[in-house]
This record gives sequence, C-alpha cells and structure tokens, in this order.
Amino acid sequence: MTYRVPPHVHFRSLHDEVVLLDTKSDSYLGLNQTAAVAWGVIATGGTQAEAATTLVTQFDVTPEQADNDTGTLVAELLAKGLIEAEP
Amino acid sequence: MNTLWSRLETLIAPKLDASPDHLAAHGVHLLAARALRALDRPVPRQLQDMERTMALRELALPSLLTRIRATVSGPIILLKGPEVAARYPDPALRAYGDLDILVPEPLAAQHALLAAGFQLVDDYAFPHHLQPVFWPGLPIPIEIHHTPSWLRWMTPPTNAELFDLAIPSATGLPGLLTLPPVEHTLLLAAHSWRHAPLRRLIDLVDIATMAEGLDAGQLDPKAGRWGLGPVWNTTRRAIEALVGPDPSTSWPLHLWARHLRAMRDRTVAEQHAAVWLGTLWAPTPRAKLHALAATVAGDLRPLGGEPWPVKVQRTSRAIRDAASPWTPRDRRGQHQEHG
Repeated sequence: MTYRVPPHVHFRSLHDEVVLLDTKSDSYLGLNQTAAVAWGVIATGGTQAEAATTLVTQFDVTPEQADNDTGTLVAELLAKGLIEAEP
Repeated sequence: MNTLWSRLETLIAPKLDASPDHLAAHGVHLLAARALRALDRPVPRQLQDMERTMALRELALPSLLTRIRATVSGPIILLKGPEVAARYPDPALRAYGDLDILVPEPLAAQHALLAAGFQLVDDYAFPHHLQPVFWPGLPIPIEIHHTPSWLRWMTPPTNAELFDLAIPSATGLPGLLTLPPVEHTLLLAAHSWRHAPLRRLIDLVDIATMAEGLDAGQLDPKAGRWGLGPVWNTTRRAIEALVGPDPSTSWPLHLWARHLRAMRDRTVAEQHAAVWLGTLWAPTPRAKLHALAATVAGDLRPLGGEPWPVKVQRTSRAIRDAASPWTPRDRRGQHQEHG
C-alpha cells in the first residue's frame, strides 16, 4: 500500500530531521533521523516495506526492527491524519 | 564568491563559540548554526532547538497569513520578518518572533481577528501599539500597526503613500501586500534606529539584503524626501564598513557599530550615549533640538506609571553599571522588537 500527504499537512526537512505541521489542527510533529528517512520514502509514494528496507540499508537495524518501527510510524501518521492511504 | 553572505560568515566566524543567547541577541544564531555545520562542528542543543522553532514558524506562516487575509478586510501590508527572510539564501535562516502588519484600521482588524478565534497576547506591556494577537497553537504574535515602526522623533510617511506604493508580498499569498524594496529598505533603516542607532547585527544584514540590487540613485532621493537622509547615509556607510565588499573602519562604524563588529552588547553608557546622540541625525537643526530635548526628557522621566523611587533606583543602577553590557533588564520601555 502507498500513501500520500494531504494538502493540509506541510512539512520540511531540517538537517536530519523532518518537522510537520497539520494546518487543520495546528499541531506539530517532529520526526527524528530514522523516522525522517522513513518519512522520505512514504511521503514520496513508497510503501512501508520500502521504507523498512531503506532503514536497514542506512542504519544498524534488523529487518524485523525496521518493519516494526515503520509499521508503528505509519500507524501513528495515519491516526493523526498526516498521511492518507492511496486508494 | 565575495557575497554579502560570505562576508557575513567571515564576520561571525570568530564568534561561533559564543553562547546561543549571545548569537541570538544579534539575530545571527541560525546563520551561526549553518556555519558550524559547514565546518562539521557540533551544533549546541539550544541552537538546534532555535532552528526547529524557526522551521515550525516558517511552516505555519502560509496558513496563518491566509487566515489573517481571509479575516481582515482592506489592504494588509506585511513588513520586515518574512519579507526579509524571503531574500535570505534560506528563509529559515532569518529568525523572527512575530509578524508585523500595517492596516488602515488596526482596531477593526484586531476585533475581526478576535471574532475569528485569534486571542490576545497576555503579557504585553508596550502601549505604543495595539495588543498583539495570536492563533491558538501557532506561537507567532501578530502586531497590528497603524503606522510603520519609525524613529521616535520623526513622523513616518503617511499610510496613504505606503498603501499606494504597496506591491504583492514576497510570500506569494494572494491579496497580501508589502513595500517595494526602496521603501522597505528605508523602513528597515528607520526601524533599526528606533530605540538606539544600529543596535543589532541582523538589522544591518536585513537592510543590506533588502537593498541588494538597488543603487544610490533610487535610495537617496526617497531617504531625503522622508527626512531620513542623515540616518540612511550613516546606515549605508556602517553596512559598507561592516559587511561591504571592502570592509573598513570608517567613522560610522566607530561611532555606531563597533559593538557589531565585536558582536557584543553595547555597554549601558554606550547605549544611552547612542540614544541621545542619535537624535542629532534628525534632518534639520530644529528637529535635532526637538528630538534631543524629547529624548533626554524621556530618559530622565519615570516610565508610564513608574513611581519616582523606582526611577531613581533604576537611574542609580544605570550609573553604577555604566560599563556593563546593556541587558534585557535595562530594556524596559524600549520594546525589543522581533519582526
């Protein structure tokens, strides 16, 4: 499954982090370095599995850890309305 | 390439180990963080937090301005902060803590914003313009001005002239205006002299940024028409001496901006001397006399509502601490403007 960033969500990279602003709720979210890398994949149309693979290649994490971390991240982003599943 | 930015980097390079608060006092903390990264040196946690705050403000800006535009009727001129930031290599390098808008009917604009859900900033103690408002969740106060921030001892250009000259804002938001570069440059110069001549390094950087591409033939006549001839001339020369292509130690730098080259606060004595002497840059002898008398009298009188014993205590402390850095504690009554 792929995802898209809804228009009311603005984000920008800040060195190795990403900051997001939901303009509907005026709430902010900061993503740390690993979450920012996963965000970079997901926000550009990649799947959770692709994000996990990217984490494995860039960080010292096992595939299981990466899958778990990206799964948690995607669930949180979906719950907060910061990404939407592509139909 | 010997650009304004490379010259500024050279100027701040010896100060990169200064405390973030010290760098922020001159508005160059985000530029310092960038310089540290370029040198592959660690960026202090406080500087990282300041970067994050500014990135969030920049993200919030479009939606905030859109709300303001949708709520306030009539023309809105956005001044300083974001308009200057748009000319930086990266807008997130120019910190600002609030937004300054100029509208024909400030009170009506404030009422409209409050009715739309904006709230008043609580701890606001500066009576010279309306109590700022903010949108809940977005910590960017909005200062609503009925005149541009100007030298205390001069009359600013009329709103009719400014609204007539206004051009689309650099933010690109439909219906939002700003001043053309010539007028904006002069407004920034006037603002930088408002409380004391050329107090912060960032003031000169902003002016130089806004003036890039303009020549004396465009700026000098308008400065003269607005009574800013001496102020603009000294400001321009201080910029040239500090971050110009051929930095020097001209007299404007010695007199007004030597603390900027050292990136230190003025001492209490320097600050008072600068405020008093600055009035001599008024355009006419009569204006100089009037400005000096009003400024000295204002300095010697208690602030609004301040009891005389408190004033005497404050003055005694100023004399005792004459050689100490002028700190925010001393800034009561001299609103530290962030835009």
